[in-house]
Amino acid sequence: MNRILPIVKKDVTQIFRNRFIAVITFLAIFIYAVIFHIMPSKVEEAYSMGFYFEKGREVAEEQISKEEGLEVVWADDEEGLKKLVENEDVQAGLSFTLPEGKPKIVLYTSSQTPEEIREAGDVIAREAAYNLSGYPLNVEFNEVVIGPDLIGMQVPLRNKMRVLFVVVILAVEFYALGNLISEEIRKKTADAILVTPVSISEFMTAKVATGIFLTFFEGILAAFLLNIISVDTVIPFAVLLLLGAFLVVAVSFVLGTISRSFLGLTAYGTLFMVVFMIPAFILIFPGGYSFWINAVPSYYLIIPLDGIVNYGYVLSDYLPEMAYLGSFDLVMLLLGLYVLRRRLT
Amino acid sequence: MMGFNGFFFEFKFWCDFQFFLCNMQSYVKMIIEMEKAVSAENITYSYNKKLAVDHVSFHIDKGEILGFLGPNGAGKSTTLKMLVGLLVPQDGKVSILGMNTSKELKKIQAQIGVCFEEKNLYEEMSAVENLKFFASLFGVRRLDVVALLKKVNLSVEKRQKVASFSKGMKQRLMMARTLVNYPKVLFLDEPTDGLDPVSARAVRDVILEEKGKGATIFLTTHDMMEADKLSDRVAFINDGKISVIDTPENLKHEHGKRILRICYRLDGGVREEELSLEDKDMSKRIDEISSKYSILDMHTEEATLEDIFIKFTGRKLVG
Ligand SMILES: Nc1ncnc2c1ncn2[C@@H]1O[C@H](COP(=O)(O)OP(=O)(O)OP(=O)(O)O)[C@@H](O)[C@H]1O
Ligand SMILES: [Mg+2]
Repeated sequence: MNRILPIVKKDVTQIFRNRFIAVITFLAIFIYAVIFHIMPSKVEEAYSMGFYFEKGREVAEEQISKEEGLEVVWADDEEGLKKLVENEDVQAGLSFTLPEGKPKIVLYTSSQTPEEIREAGDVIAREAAYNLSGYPLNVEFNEVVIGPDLIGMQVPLRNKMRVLFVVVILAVEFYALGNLISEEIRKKTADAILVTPVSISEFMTAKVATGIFLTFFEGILAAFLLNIISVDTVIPFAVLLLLGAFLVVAVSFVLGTISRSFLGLTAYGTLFMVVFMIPAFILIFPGGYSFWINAVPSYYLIIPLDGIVNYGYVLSDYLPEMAYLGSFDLVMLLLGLYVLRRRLT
Repeated sequence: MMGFNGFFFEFKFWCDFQFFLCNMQSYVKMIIEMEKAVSAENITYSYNKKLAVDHVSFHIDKGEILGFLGPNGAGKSTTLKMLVGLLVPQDGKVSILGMNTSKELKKIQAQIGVCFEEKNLYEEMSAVENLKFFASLFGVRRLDVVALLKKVNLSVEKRQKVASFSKGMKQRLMMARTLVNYPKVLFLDEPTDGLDPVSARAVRDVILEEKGKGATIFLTTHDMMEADKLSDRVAFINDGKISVIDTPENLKHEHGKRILRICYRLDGGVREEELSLEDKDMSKRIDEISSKYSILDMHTEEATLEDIFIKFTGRKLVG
């Protein structure tokens, strides 16, 4: 232990003395925090709404055009309006009909529409109804959700993206730690350490400790800046982060051992990073999902992270994912330690 | 009763004495072994298929400098790496300070200092940070960094990174690092290679100072002047084999021929002639030259280690 600590201290110093690594690490955290905070928390400011008026479209058109920030699409019938909503051409649809002379207003929203938008649509619809009929009490008001109802599950894009950001920040550690290991080998400083009483096991333990410490620390920092941490999420987040940190460390060991130059390191590093991040992109573009993504280990980090951070799930909801991730960590770490030990002896 | 006691005493004495005599040989062997700081027996190493060191044996006495002299690729660094435990010999064994490297490596490594051929320093850290870091690995808490830097004659700014050091500065720092744990045995791999005369001198001074303090030193080099000046004994290594080990004086005396070089004027030009000092006809030839031509210069030359190296290995040290 008294020989491991000085190595960890030296490793951390060394990583941050490398300008490229220091810059990409902190810049990444900083930029993502900024992006997160300037992204709209209410999803979209411009609001598009479809309308169908059985009667009095001219009057309505005049009225509605006065609404600011509202983009209006007119449908020719009720079915057309529903199609608009379904295809997400508009964020909500409002139909105004007069069955048996009694005004009837229906607000259509898609299940894909975030709740905030639905609420906004609701307000607009009520206001429009009041404006049009003059007396709201006599109006029958309905709300119809098209598609499976996932009320309460809709999350603004920026919240989804912060999971991606955390994963990117973890992946940047591939370079930091991979480079640290690869430099110790390439520049033969590892030899200088290994002719002191430090054993190979102590040397490798120090590297694992450095990696876990850095990855964990940066993850927590990012989480703070991205508003992820709350009383409810802090522990599950920390647990997942730790599992993720082991994955990153293990991959970096392999990366650092196989790359013979800085160029090789960046090439391999980018490859690993892209693969590692793919599951996080799926959160943002769900359409991109395909089955093989299940084979990427970081999927089992990203899904629980998303669930816990964005949907209020708890760790016990993700036991299978965590078990898979934990075993992958273990296998990968053993592989990493094995290749590094072979390289050092 | 007394008689029996006396007899018993005598008997025991003789038994002990007999026992002592029997073991004398092994005691002497042990004492000799104890005097050896480093001993290598038949050590062998090949990289993949390339045999780099081929059954090499030698020893270094305590307080002695052994110069390991050989051209590029001779196997010097490979030998050194086996001695310090970075490479495990594929055959043979190494013992240092009476301990076997295969058994008590970490104990040995606590008492040795290694100066590598590559300047494997942490470039992004300062000299002081480098020294303190390595000292901490030996558990040396209070390292007098200032004294150590002064010893190797290195003056640096406190925060100056090693990356900005000149070659000579880096090499001096390498020497300083070798000494952070006050080692008893030093392993130095071409410590003056590529240095200007001033830096090389600074490094050599440190080597001699350590020897003066009783350190044992394994010094690889392909600089025969350095080997000659610093070593108590030199070993010639070529193609992974040691061809001879002896003191520089003995080598020169036994294997080198001393010559007389004469320069004289001939037909308006200058002519140079080499005469062997061992040659019986030498004085006759000198008389001949001095009577016919005007002698410009005449001096004796001793064989260099380089000449002897070529004689042994058929190879030059450099190039
Ligand atoms: N890592 C390695 N892999 C393969 N072959 C190697 C390796 N290191 C050294 N060799 C080979 O082993 C032989 C001995 O090399 P070594 O480095 O011990 O020589 P050296 O005497 O130190 O030479 P130099 O004066 O150039 O430092 C050389 O032929 C070299 O090519
Ligand atoms: Mg060498």
